[in-house]
Amino acid sequence: MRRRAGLITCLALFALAAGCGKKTETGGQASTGDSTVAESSTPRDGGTVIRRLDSECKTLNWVLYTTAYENFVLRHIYDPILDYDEKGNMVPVLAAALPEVSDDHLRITVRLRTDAHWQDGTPITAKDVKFTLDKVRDPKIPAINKAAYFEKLDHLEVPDDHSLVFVWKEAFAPALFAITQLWPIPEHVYGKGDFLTHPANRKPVGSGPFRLDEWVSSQYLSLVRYDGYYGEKAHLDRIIFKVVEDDAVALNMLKAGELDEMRATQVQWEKQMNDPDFGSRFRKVDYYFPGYNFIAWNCRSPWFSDKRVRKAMTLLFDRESVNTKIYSGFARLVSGPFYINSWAYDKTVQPLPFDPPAGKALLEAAGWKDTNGDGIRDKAGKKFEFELNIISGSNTAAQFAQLLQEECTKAGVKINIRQIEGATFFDRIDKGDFDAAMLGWRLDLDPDIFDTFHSSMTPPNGLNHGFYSNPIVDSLLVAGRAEFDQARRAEIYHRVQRIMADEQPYTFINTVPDKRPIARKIHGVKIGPLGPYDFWPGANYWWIDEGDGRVAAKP
Amino acid sequence: MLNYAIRRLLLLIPTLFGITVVTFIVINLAPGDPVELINRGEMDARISPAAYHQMLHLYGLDEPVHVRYFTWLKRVCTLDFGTSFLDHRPVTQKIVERLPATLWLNVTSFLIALVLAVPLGLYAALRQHSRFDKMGGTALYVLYSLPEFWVALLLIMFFGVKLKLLPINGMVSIDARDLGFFPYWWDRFVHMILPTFCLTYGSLAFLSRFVRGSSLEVIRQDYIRTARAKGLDETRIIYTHVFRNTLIPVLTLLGLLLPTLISGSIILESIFSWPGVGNLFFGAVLARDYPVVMGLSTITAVMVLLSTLIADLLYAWADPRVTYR
Repeated sequence: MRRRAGLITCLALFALAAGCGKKTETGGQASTGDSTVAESSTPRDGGTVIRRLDSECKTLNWVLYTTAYENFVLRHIYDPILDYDEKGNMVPVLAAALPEVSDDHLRITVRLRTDAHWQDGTPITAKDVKFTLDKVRDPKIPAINKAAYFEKLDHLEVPDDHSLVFVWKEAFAPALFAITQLWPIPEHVYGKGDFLTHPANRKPVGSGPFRLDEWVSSQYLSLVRYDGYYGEKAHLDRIIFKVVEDDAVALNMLKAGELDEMRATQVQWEKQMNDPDFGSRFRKVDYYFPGYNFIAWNCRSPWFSDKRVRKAMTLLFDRESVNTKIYSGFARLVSGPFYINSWAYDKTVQPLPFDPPAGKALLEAAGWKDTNGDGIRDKAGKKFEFELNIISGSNTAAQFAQLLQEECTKAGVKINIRQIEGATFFDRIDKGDFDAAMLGWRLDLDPDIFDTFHSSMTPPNGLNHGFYSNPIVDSLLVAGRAEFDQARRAEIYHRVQRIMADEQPYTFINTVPDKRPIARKIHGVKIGPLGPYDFWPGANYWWIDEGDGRVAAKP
Repeated sequence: MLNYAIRRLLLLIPTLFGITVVTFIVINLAPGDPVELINRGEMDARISPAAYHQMLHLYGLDEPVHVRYFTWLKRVCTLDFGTSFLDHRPVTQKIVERLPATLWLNVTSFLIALVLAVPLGLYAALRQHSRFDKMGGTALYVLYSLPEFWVALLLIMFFGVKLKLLPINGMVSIDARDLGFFPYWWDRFVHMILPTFCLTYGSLAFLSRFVRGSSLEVIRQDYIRTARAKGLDETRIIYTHVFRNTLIPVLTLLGLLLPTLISGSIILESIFSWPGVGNLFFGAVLARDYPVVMGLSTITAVMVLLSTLIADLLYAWADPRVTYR
């Protein structure tokens, strides 16, 4: 279950959904901004925070939502059953305790709190959870993005009002992560009437510390503290989400005090957020979101079936200068297919160096020599000339590609860079119809990469677009998703990473931090592995300094 | 005349049919489909091929294009534009919800442009080659060539951030509904200033140059010379003879501009987070929300066709030399 992007860093809209930290070794690692959050003031009730929404919400039905923006809002209105805290430890929220896993790993039992209730006073029961899961898995309801987490779930048992038993078809380590992705909605509200057009989709009855007060279409959403909340009450009176689609306008609003936080672009971060006035009003928070950029090599093509050639391509690609030239040093090189802050990522595996002579030597060894003196290597009458697909509209991807192209030309390899419009681009990738392609993955916190690298997952079955196949990796990936012990599982994935460092199914490039300025008057900001929001309790318990009278409190 | 109008109305049917067929085919040819796009971007959890086809079926996208077109056409004949793929609400409801915002902005801008452009153009024509004409002309050409989004950002920076005089985003302030009657409308008014300005200056420049051109043509006519020769006073010449005749081509142009009143400006609406039709259309195209795209295209097409017809009829009404049979 990976999310992809045509070079993560170039897409304006990413960030993510319901993800939450799965036991990361280090929390969200700050690279450059001042993410350290020293708290001096004590929590104070009252006040309003105004956040930016990059795009209008379609729905506030948890089952139907699809974008990160909707998730931002939903995280205040609904509570999860289980979630991860900012250190990546699993914590119960609607659950009374952590889940119990049976010895054969097939049954996962969760007990719900008995005191939790919906915002209309009705108790939250196991039946609501079952109802939600049934809706997620209903073929008539477009919730495939969430249903995908439960493909290996056999069924859900509800022995009593506050007990849930998730029964899985096989021992499946990502199962716990899947359960954190299930946020119940109330059956007594959604059970009647048409689900897709239900009025409650725009007027949700939630379970969280905030409730929706007003939704002015494509203008703003106003949430107010829900005082009847079963857990610890929130401090803020209100959280307002303003819809601001344009990045430049958002920055202006931030500076004018009409927004308290936003997602910044690379250029804004570097050039427009450095003056002392800005620094005194905002802290700059950056964090590595799970994901990385890479070049996929098609292992079925005449050139890249040989691992020596793939390795040579990596050696010919000056990834370090990509970082310094394109990201001004704001990115980190990666050496494998896992999230760099995850326990699954083996930090001892170094990225291959930039070493053109070694690259050329590998090409020679693989039999690619320039026999006819035209400056391009060939073998058995086949020229080393291939097409590198990149998504159109991405300057960053184009710059990456040109850097590689230049070095390859010197080494006698001809690259034709081809820019393709988004949907067509992904269509070709999905079919495995390319020589090489520049891409990015957004990852889940669970490190399972079966779908992207197992040999059974080649197009059209899965996401192994480059037709990579290695029997050892195959068996490790199968073992990895069945192993519930984290240390043993980590060892499995470290082996996978070492094999891939040698075989280079991809040229792993880098990972780029997400960047957010957050007003200094806001306190209680914690930074989890996925930044300030995607963990429990996220932004639910923020508080702010003495009010500035911008927006009135709500009764 | 009536005969002509009826014939023209009947001609609308095949034209409209052609337009919808082409639009339907083009939007369906555009790569990507809604199922894929709804789930791409931020949340691209993997969808198994079976689940994917199930979704296509849910949206009725597993049928061939021509079958889908006729299903759509059948529904449209009963004025049912279907429901949006994104939030499952009726397309008509979504459009109607967005229409007031766009109308507010566009009608205001249109009226301002018209009220200013006619005297400006007329005056420039009467004083052709004067300093006013030359400088005004240059200034208007400069205005006309300034890109809206750029001007909008400069204004936002200046009036919103530096001076903090004007709101720079949206149609109303937060909690405007709690304000009294006058403060509420004042709030609406100040929110309109920047977008209206950005929307107006281009069409003002264009319209006033157009009025100037058409006045110049009228002024050179024999009947104006005759009027002057027989000693009619200048004011009467201008108001009864020049002005009225100048309006004839302008009238035609206005007819053609009418549809833009409801279609909305995609760029400005998105910069100012203006909840209008342009914004809706743009989002729908990006998400391949076929029902919304088709609904808006059809309505715009009908508007264009009708307003061309109205412009032609007005033309006959304003200019007795033109007759239709």
